[in-house]
This record gives sequence, structure tokens and C-alpha cells, in this order.
Amino acid sequence: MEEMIENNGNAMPILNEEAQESGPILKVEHLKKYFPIKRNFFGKPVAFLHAVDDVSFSVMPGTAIGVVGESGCGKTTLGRTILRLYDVDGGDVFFEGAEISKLKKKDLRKYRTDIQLIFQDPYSSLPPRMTVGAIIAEAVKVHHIVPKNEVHDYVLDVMKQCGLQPQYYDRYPHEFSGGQRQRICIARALAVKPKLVICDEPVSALDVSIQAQIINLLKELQETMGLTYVFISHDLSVVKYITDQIMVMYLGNVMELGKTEDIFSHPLHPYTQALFSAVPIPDPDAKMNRIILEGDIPSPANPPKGCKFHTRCSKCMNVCRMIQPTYLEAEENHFVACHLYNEEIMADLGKYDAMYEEECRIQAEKEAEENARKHRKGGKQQDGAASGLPQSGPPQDGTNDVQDGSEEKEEEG
Amino acid sequence: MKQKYSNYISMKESRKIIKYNLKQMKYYEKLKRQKRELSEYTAPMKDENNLIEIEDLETFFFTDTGTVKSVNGVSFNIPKNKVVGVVGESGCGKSVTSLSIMQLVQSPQGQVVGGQIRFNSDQLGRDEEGRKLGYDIVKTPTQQMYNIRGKDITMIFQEPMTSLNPVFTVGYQLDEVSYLKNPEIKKEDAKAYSIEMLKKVGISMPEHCYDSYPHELSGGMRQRVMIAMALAGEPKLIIADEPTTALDVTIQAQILELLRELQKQEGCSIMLITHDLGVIAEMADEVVVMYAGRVIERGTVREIFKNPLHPYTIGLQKSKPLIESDAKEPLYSIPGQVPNPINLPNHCYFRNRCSKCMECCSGEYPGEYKVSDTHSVACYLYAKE
Repeated sequence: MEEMIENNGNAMPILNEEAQESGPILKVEHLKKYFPIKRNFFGKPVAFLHAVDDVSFSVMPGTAIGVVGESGCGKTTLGRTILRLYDVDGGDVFFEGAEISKLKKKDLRKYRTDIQLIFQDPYSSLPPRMTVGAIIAEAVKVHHIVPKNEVHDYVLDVMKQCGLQPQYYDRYPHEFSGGQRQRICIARALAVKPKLVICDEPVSALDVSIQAQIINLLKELQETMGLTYVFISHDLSVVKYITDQIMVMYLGNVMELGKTEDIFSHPLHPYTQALFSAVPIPDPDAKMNRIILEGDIPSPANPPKGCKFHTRCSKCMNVCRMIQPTYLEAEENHFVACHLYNEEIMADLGKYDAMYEEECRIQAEKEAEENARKHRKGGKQQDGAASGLPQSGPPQDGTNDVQDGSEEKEEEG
Repeated sequence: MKQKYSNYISMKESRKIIKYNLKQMKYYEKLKRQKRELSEYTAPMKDENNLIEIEDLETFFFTDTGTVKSVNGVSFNIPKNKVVGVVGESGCGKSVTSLSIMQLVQSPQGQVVGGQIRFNSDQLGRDEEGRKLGYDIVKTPTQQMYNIRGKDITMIFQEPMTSLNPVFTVGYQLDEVSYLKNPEIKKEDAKAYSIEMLKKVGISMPEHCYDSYPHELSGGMRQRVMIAMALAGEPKLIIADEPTTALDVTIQAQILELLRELQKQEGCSIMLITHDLGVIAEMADEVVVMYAGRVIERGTVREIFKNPLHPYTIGLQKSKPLIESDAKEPLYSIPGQVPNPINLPNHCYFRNRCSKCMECCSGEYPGEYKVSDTHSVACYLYAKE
């Protein structure tokens, strides 16, 4: 068995040891993951949901990166794509210099012990029919982490490290509270001696007082075992305690990436700023000028054109509606994807304004043409639909006016 | 060799518990079905300015492993036109308290066993001594409760997806409230009113929303619909049970802003249940901190956040990670975990986790000690000799 593993190791394009030590443990380059949402008659996908779109970052060994964003921004998909639980649609994932995004399933096995995942919900991620000891020991036995006769002691050792008492060995998950279950999940992940742990919202299902315990435990384990974390969370204040780097995501795109201190002291992207100001502060006297974002997150299946955030942005310019901002280094090691920090674009905004107006005009003309054609084609049908509208009754005059107005505008355009 | 653990129960014990539970449940169900005179379920209010007065409320759940005292002698008031925040960890009984107010506790296993919930209603006059009468919700028959629930007291639930009916349009569900209020209302009027409500909660296309099904709306929109539904009855009290827990931070900020505005506009009271201290600090006028089915501290927001007294309140505030705080130091955490709700001992439930535990803490459960007019705490540290 050992021979086989060695052979596999030789077959793989691993860089030499020096490079491994100095380089980043995880490097993600232009990672893309698209989910098909619409298929044509022959089952070929024609429309895609861009869950993760062009994400690049790297993590040094022994540090932690936080991935922050609202629900539906692709942070969980990112974590799972790194693990190859989903197949990569584009871009590369390098783990210790080896490209794991293109490995075969058989070769991937070796990396399964190196990268582990801690799930969000400790209630549904533990098998109810296995005892705690069996849960933790399962992967240890499969991957031959320790000799068979030492498994029991090894598991107890790991349990102790994670703050679980030895008498829990024979108990079942349902006997534990949420915090204890999350400890079991952590113990299960750490039992195979991973180098990189992807924590997918490990504390968001827990109570405040338990949350603090788990955060401290994760931090402690990082120091003693030299772990590297990819910490996925929607809670900015939790991320601050654990990470060295933060990546803010929105609709599959990276909005901002930088050191934790930098991002917390002066967030650059308008979205990050809004995200910070939205967190309620437990101090009744604290007064802050809150930036309240309007509207909801647009559907990732149909993202807005240009900058994906422009529909909710308070500093939206005409450029944002047309061109997707490039990812640039606004400060040292502080990347942001926003036109506000692109000097070239900010220098001649007038040009882009003109361009936008031009585009709007063309768009409007097209629409007008379309409308005219529709009128000619199915005038009767349209009339029928129009006469159906005012039936909703007189009480909501105001709203009807608004509606009529918008229709008129469309027709005018 | 296997040890015998305390949380396993033998067949014999189990049978005993089930027998006891059946007896209890039958007794309380029978009480509920009894016909009562109006005078039996009304009680004078202690203070006219209070909308709700809860006194020694006890709500128990008779489960197969034993009786869970979810709410165990809770008392606090909800004044008119104020926001009262109830904080606590999961399982501390904050939701059960609110369900008791609505008379919606899952029966027959869940029963309000004792205490009073007095609801200040304008329909009832005054008694001989000139005190204002209110309904005692614990004893109010279900038929009478229909007139209160959904009209005077409404509720916003945590999970907007599961609390809206997926097979009816939003409009249909909103209209129902109008029919409840006035059964003879015309269909058009009900629709107009519903659309007005949707507009009030900041939905940009109310007509479109009126005709759509819940699954077509986003989480924030659904919660707005829930709020619209709660407001449509022109309530005196809105119980908001974790209204923003299932939402994103940016949407949470929107919803909280909306709730605050509406509360001022409509002049109703809100009972806000949440585990997020930040939300409480922002919204509430008064705060009730609960732990394992009991109120351990209550006071105004300023008192609770600037001068927390109970070790649990202090620990809770310290263990919350903050954006401004120093991330270098490890986070303070309260050791241990919430005690098992079955067979709670008769001493301070926080004793095992408390850093300031004293000898007398092993004695009886501490009573409420008043520190100021509005601030009281259940801890021996503040007992006056």
C-alpha cells in the first residue's frame, strides 16, 4: 500500500520541497464554476448560473483567509470547488504546488486527507447511527493514518485536543448540544492530519456563548497544529478573530481582497463599506451613518451588466453600468474591483458618460423598433391586454398613474 | 465496560413518566374546554400604561423524557408604544413566552400551567375600584382569542418561507386579514387595502407582488410581506420572533429600519425576540434577558448595555465578537453549556458556568433584586444583606 502511494506521488507534478515550503499552500487562479440552469431539447445546457466567476487568491501556510459575502454569492461553492466536490469549469487550483483541479479521482485520494471540510450545520452533518468514536475513527482507518492497534488511543487524543471528554467515545450524536457536535465535526476533520481546513460557516448555527468557544478552539488548533484555514462566513465580526486575509465576494465575483487589518481599517469597495455599516453594534449610544443598501441581491442566474453591484451601489457611475471593473491593486496587497480606484477611468469619466448615453440611445431605438413591430404584428392581442389592465379598480389611482407613466415612457423610447 | 449515564432512562421510569404526562395533559385540556364567564378571564391591570403584563408565567412541555419547564416563572411588562427586546440563547424559552401570549403553544404536550398574561383591551371597561380591566390570556377561551389574535396581537415569524402558505398568492393571504377584521368588506376594498399595506412596507411594485406566490419573492421581500400582514390588522402589539435571523446583514438593516419607522408611525408596541445583542441595542427601549426559562435581568437598554449586572449578561456581551474590538486577544467565552432543561435543580441555573459563584448560590434560586426602578436582576451578588 505504501509503495502505491509513493508511486502515485512520483507520478504527480509536485514541485520540489523548497518551493513547497516557501510558496503558498493553496493557490486559486481564475477559478470558475458554472451550473447549468437551462437545457435545450437535446439536454445540452444553454444557460448557466455563474456561481464562482474568475476568483483568484492564494493562502500562505499557517494563515487563514476569510471569505465573506451574502447568501448566494458563491462562497460555499468556492469551498467545495477547491475540494473538488464540484468539478472545476475553468481556472486552476494549486495545492502545495500541485495542480489538483485536473487530477483523476484515483490520484485525488491522497489529497483528501490534506484538505478537510467542516460543515455549517452540526445537526445534519453527523451520521446519527454511529458513535462519536466511530465517526472520528472512520477516516483514520480508511487512510491508514495510524496503525490499527493505535486507532483507539489516537482518536481519544484528538477528542481531547478538541475539548471532548473521553467518556463521549461511545455516545451518539443526538445526545450532544450544538456546540459539542461542532467539536465532533472539528475532531473528525482534524483526525486525518490535514494541512488545509475549509470551514464553511462553522459557527453561524451556534449560540453566542458557544460561538466564542468554537472560535477560540479553532484559533488554538491553528497555533498548535499549524493549520491553514479557508474560513467561509457571512459574519464579518467573527472573521476578524480568525483570519489574516479577507476576500469579499458578491454574486460570484471578488469585490475586495486584502489583509484583515487593512480591510477593517479602511474598506475600499462601496459594497464592503455597506456590509460593515450594516452590522448592528451592541451599544445603544452608538450612532452611525448607516449605508443602507436598497433592494435585494440580483438573481445570480441573470446578473446585471457591467459591475454586478451597480444596481445597489450608492456611488454608481455610468461607467459601472457598462464595463465590468478590473481587479486592481489599489494599495499594497489590497485588491479591489471598482472603477472608483481606477485612475484611467476616473480621469475621463466624461467619455464614458457619452458612451453610456450613446448606448442607451441605441438600446432605446432598438426597443422602439421592436415595439413597433409587435404593434404591427399583433395589434389586436395587445389591445386586449391593455383593456384588461384598468379593471383593477379606481381606489389605487396613484399606482395606476405610475404604471401608465412607465408604459408611456417605454412607448416613447 | 459501559458506564451508566444519567441521561438514559429505564423502561420502568419511562412508563411512569408517560403515565404522569397523560394525566397532566388530560387535566389541562379539560380546563381549557371548560365554559367560563367573562369575569373569570378578565383581570385588572396593575398599570394602565402597560399593554401586556406577564406575571409568573409557567409553560411546561410534557415530553417522554420528563417535564421541560420552558418558561418557569417569567414576569415582565410591555408598555404601550415601546419596543421590548427579549434576548437569550436557543432553548431559553423566549419563543415559548411569545407563543404563550398568542395562545399558540403546541398542545397537548405543551401547556400553560400557571401565571397570568394580562392584555390591556379597550373593549373592557373598568372594575368597581376604577382599575382598567384586561383579558387574562391564559384563561381566555379559544373563541374569544380569535378576536385578539391577528387583530390586536400579531406575529412576525422567523422563517418567512415556512410561515407563508405556498399554494396561495400573497394577495389572497393579505386579504384574509381584512376579512378577519371586517367580514362584510368588499373584495375590491380588501385588495386596495392590501396593496396599500404592501406599499407601506416598501415593496416597489405592490400590484405585481399582490398577484405573486411566495416562492417568487426573495427572503427580504417575504419578510416584508409578513410585516405587511402583521400591520394589516392594525395591532396594538407586534411580536417579532427573530425577524431577521434568516436574512443577510444588508437585508437585515433594511428590515430593522422599516420596523423602527413603522413602530413610530403606527404607535404600536413591539416585542422583539432575538439572540443578537446588536439588534436589541439598536431597536429596543427595554430589554429582558432570559436564561433556561427564567428572566435573569431586565432594565432599559442603557442599563443593560452600559451597566450589565448579572454575570451571564456580562459574559454574553463580552463573548460577542465586535468589529471594532481587538482581534489579537482571544475572545472571552462562557465555559460550559446551557443546562439540560429536564429536572433543573433548585439553585441558580448559571451556577456551574459562573465566574463569581459564591456559597449561597448553591441554595435556592435567587429572587429578583431591584437595583433601580427599572433595573432588576436575579443574582445573589446584588442581594441587600
